[in-house]
Amino acid sequence: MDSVDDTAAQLAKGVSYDEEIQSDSCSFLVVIIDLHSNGWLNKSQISLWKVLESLTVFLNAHLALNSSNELAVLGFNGLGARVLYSTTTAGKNADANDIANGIHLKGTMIRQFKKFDESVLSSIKAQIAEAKAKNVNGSTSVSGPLSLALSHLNRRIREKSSMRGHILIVSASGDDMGSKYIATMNTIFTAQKLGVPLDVANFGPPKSFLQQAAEFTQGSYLEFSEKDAEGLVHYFCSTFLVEPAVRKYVNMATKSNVDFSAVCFITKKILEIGYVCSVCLCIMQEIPEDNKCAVCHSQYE
Amino acid sequence: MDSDDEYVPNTRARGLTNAEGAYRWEDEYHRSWDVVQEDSGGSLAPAVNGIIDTAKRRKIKPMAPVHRGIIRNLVLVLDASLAMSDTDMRPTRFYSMISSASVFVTDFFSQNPISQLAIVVLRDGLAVLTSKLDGNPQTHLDNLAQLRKSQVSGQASLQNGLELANVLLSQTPQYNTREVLLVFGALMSNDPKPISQTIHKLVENKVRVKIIGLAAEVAICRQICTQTNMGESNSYFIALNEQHFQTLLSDSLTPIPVLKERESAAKSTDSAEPATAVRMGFPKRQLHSMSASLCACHQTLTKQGFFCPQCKAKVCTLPMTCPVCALTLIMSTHLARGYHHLFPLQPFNQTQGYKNPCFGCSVSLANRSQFECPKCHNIFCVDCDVFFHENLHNCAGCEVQNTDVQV
Ligand SMILES: [Zn+2]
Ligand SMILES: [Zn+2]
Ligand SMILES: [Zn+2]
Ligand SMILES: [Zn+2]
Ligand SMILES: [Zn+2]
Repeated sequence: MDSVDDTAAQLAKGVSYDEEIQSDSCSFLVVIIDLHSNGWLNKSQISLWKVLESLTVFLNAHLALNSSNELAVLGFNGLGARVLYSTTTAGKNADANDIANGIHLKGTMIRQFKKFDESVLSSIKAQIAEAKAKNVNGSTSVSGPLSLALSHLNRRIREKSSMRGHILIVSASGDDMGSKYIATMNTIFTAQKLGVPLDVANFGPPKSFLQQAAEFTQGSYLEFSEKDAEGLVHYFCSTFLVEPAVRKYVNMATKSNVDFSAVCFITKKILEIGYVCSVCLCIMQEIPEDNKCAVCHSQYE
Repeated sequence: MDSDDEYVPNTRARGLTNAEGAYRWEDEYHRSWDVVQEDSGGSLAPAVNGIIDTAKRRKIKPMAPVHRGIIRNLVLVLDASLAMSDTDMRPTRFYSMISSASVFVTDFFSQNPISQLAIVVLRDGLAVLTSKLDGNPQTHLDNLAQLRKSQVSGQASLQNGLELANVLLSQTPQYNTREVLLVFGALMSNDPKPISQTIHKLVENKVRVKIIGLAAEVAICRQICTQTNMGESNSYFIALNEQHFQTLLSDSLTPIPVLKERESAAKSTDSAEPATAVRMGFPKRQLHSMSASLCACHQTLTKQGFFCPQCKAKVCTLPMTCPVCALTLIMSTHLARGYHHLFPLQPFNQTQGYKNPCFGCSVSLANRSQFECPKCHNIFCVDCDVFFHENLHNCAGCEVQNTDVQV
């Protein structure tokens, strides 16, 4: 329980705490939702609609926490990635749009929530329907939506110095993003550089890349199985809602035994000691017999 | 030296001449307000935005996929002679240099994770090893912080600095790069022997020297740079101001291309030096074990750490050379940081006339410069263009569209 004691001590000191968390700081949350048609078919996992129910509560909470908080929702499937909702574009001509879209507020409902619920859910449905109509079964790498999310964050952080970025990946589909290793790693390093934590809510099989992504950027990686279905809102709000600046003072729920093991590029075996090509940096279990790099074909001494 | 005229001071310095090689003061006078043109509606906004955008893009350089030396050994030689107490950089050249060097060290290791760095300081005619060749950024930052507390004194000796750097670098493996980055504030050097001998040694050892001058061009510096870079004259610079100095430093973050001559030699003989397979360890991490144990690197009690797969010694951070068995210990993710140098993003082309917002950040592109990715043909704003090439090393358009769709 060391960390708890530390927290108390640090909070008591109060100095660094106050410096970090300015009263005017606000956060821009980008949610990336995996909408691959085959990702949510598994019977043993929570259904997409159940997840979205909890997610909308969480996102509304994010918007309610601070009036200058911003939000963007990205969806990606076999067709690619796209922005489904963004407060920056939605906010501009709000009233005209509301009337045009036939959105009417009921009772004490906050306009932003109502609009958000309707537009997010309808665009998610549209993206799924599109993939179904075109019969697309392939998968895209998470590097696509992550690159797009980082472009948006980069702009907002640049424009407003009190803005802090934050990404949540809602992941489901079966395969990891192995095919786009370099592009995905580039996004992780950039997120780290921008100080943007990558949170992961994983509803599918374990994903080692996303675990590393969370680990590298001080985000949280959580895996959910069917038994967590009822408590999703609680998980979301108690973990992902915590502002990035406050995180180091809070014991975050996370899976911490991250596997950083290296994989041989040729045999795909996990290595503890290996050889690294000085030209292309590929990892090999043994030096090939012909003394040539299998990837870049450089001749070794 | 074969002829004397190599020592004739090269006063046609970079900063003082224009594109045709004539002196600036021989130039026709440019009126900067003539550059700004009103558009058809009489507005200046497009012209002003254009100038701002050009400034932002200046840092993007076309990156051909050339063979770069990814495992680097760099000796940072810092001038701490009296010339560095000059206040043309604030608060003084010395303090400004140390601040910039600290940023450089941090960025160097984030972009060149398996490289090593040493810091040498020139003062009182001596070269002092301040931070020995090591792959741990924190020790260098601590040493720079110590250096900040010291005083500038005496004269600088180029020769002693280069000799020391040469000794440090000659111990490093052949497949690594051997580089010297020298910050030189003085206009003269206090050398014990003819410096040509030192230059010969550097050339022999394949050490490449880059010099950033803070005052004015010095002929011997240009000569050192040219001779150690196989006659290429693009490694000697004079910093015009603090910002320019930082830009010059950050140019050294990207691994240097392997020199053509060396590369072609490698290809023709097929068994020359460049490529080697380096044995490295990928340690397992132990988090929050129940009992604390001593680490091999600092001899302090810690509860977490990484265990060397070869000798089971515990170290605190990665990357590091195992203090017990000298195996290079890294994470596979550290290697991944180097990959983008191997697959650089193509520069975007400037276009105009698109009505849609920026594909990356959805900002409106009306009256703004627009840039097209040559691969995916999406249009981006200047900020995204700079962001992709400087930080992300991905094109959001390519990543989003490049799917392996199985229809
Ligand atoms: Zn190779
Ligand atoms: Zn230690
Ligand atoms: Zn060891
Ligand atoms: Zn943009
Ligand atoms: Zn592109």
